[in-house]
Amino acid sequence: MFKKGIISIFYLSFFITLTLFFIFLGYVFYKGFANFSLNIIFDEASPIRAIIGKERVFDGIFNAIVGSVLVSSLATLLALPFGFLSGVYIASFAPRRIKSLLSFSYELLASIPSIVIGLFGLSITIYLHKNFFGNLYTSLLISALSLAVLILPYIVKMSEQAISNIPNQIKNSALNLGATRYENLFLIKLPYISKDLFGGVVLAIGRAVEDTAVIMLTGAVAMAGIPNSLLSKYEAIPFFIYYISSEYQDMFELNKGYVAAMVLLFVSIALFLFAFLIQKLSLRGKFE
Amino acid sequence: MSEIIKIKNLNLSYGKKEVLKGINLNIFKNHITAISGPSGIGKSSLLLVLNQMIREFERAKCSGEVLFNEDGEWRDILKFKEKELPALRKNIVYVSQHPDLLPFSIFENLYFGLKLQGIKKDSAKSMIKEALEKTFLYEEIKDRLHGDASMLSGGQQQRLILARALVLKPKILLLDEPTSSLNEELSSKVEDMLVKLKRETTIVMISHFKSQILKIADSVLNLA
Repeated sequence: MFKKGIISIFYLSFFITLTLFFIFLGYVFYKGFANFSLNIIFDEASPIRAIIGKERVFDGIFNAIVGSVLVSSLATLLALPFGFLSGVYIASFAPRRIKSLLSFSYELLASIPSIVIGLFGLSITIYLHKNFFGNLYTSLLISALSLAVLILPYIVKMSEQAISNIPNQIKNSALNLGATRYENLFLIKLPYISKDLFGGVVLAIGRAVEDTAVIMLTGAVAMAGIPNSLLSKYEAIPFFIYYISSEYQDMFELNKGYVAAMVLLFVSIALFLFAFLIQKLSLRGKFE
Repeated sequence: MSEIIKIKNLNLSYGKKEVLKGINLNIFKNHITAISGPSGIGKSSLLLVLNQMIREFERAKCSGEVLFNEDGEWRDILKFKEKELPALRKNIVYVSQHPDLLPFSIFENLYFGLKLQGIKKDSAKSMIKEALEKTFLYEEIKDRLHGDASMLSGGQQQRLILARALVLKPKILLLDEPTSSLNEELSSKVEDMLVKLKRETTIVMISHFKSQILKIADSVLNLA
C-alpha cells in the first residue's frame, strides 16, 4: 500500500509537469495561430518581394525574424571555431593538472547570467567608442560578439564532453596500433563525434536565438528594419516580444507578440528536434 | 637464447592503490612467456606497461626499469618520451581480452595500423588475407570484409583483433587471454598457430588455463 502511494506521487508529479507543459504550449500556439496572418509578418508588403529584399517591411515581425537569424548565425560562426578547438584541447591535450581547472572555468562562465554578458558588451562598446572608434555604437556586430561569449562555454563543454564520452576502448585502440595523438584525434575521435557535435551546435544556435538580455543591451531595437551592415541596429524576435508586450497600444499589437512568441517557440522546438534527430542518427551509425 | 625485455623491480600503482610490487622478469626472444595468477592481481596492467598503454590511465604510476632490446640497444621503456610511443607500439602490440574494435568495417579495422605505416590499400590486401587465415577467420568473413566489424560474434571479434595485431608483424605480441571467447577446437588451433608464430615474434600472454600454459608456454610468471 505504501509502495503504491509512493508510485502514485511519481505518476502525479509527471502528470502535473506534462499538463503544465501542454497548457503553456497550447496557449502560445492557440493565441499565435488565432492571430496569425501574413499581414502580421509582412505588414502591407508582398511576402516574396520582402523576402528577396525588394520591398521594405515597416510594421511586421519579418524584420525581427531576419535579425534573429542574422545575429544568432553570426554569433555561432564567431563562437564555434574557438569553442570547438578549446573543447578539443581540454579533452585531448591539456595537461592533467589544469584540465579540471579549465573545465570548471567554462562551467562557471556558462552559469553567468546573460544580462551580465550584455552589460559587459555594452561597457566595452562605450569604452571603444570613447577612446578609439567614435562611430562605433551598439549594433548587430556587438550583439553577435556578446552572444558568442554567451554560447562559447556551451560549445566548449559540448566538444569536451563529446570527446570524453568516446568509449575508452575506441579512444585507446588506435594508440595501441601505433597512432600518434594527432592521428587518433583526426582519424578516430573527430569522425566519431562529428554528428554529436553538429547536434550540439544546433542547440547552441537555439540558445543564441532565444536570449533577450544580451541583445537588448547591445543593439536590438524596435523598428530598425533589416540591418544593412554589421554596424547597424537590428530587430530580434525575443526583443520584439518584450517591447510589444510592455508597450502595446491595442489588442492587435499585443496579438503580434503572441505570433512572434509562436514563431520563436517554433524555431526553438524545430532546432531541438533537429538536434535530437541528428543524435539519434549518430547513435544508429555507431551501433548498427 | 637472448632476452628482448628485462623487467627490474617494477612497481605500479593506480593512485594510492598498489597493483604490482617488485616485479622482476626476463622475457626471451622467440619464446612464449605466460603470465598467470588470480583475477585483479595486475596481469593486464603488466602487459600495458610493456607497450606503455598504461600511460593512458590517468592515475597509473610506474617505477623501476623495463629494458627493451631495440636493435641491439637496451632502452628503458618507462623513460620513453611521448613522441617515441607510436614507434614503440608498432613494435609491441597489445591484444585486449575485450575486443577493442574501431568503429569501422572489418577491412578498415585490419588496414588501420598499416595505413599509419603508409602502406597502400592494394599492397595491404594480401597481408590482411594472410593474417585472417592465420586466425582461421578468412573463410568465415571473406564475403563481408566491408561489413560492420561490430556485427561479428564475440569469438570472431577476438580473432579479428588478433589478426589486426598480426598484420603489423610486431616484435612482441602481448596477448590478454587470447582464447577466452573461443570454443575448444578453435582455442586449440589458435594455440598451435601461436607456437608456430613464435619463430617470427616474441609472445607474452595471459592465460587462466593451466593446460594451455603447459601446452605452449616456454616460461611462466605466476603473479600471486
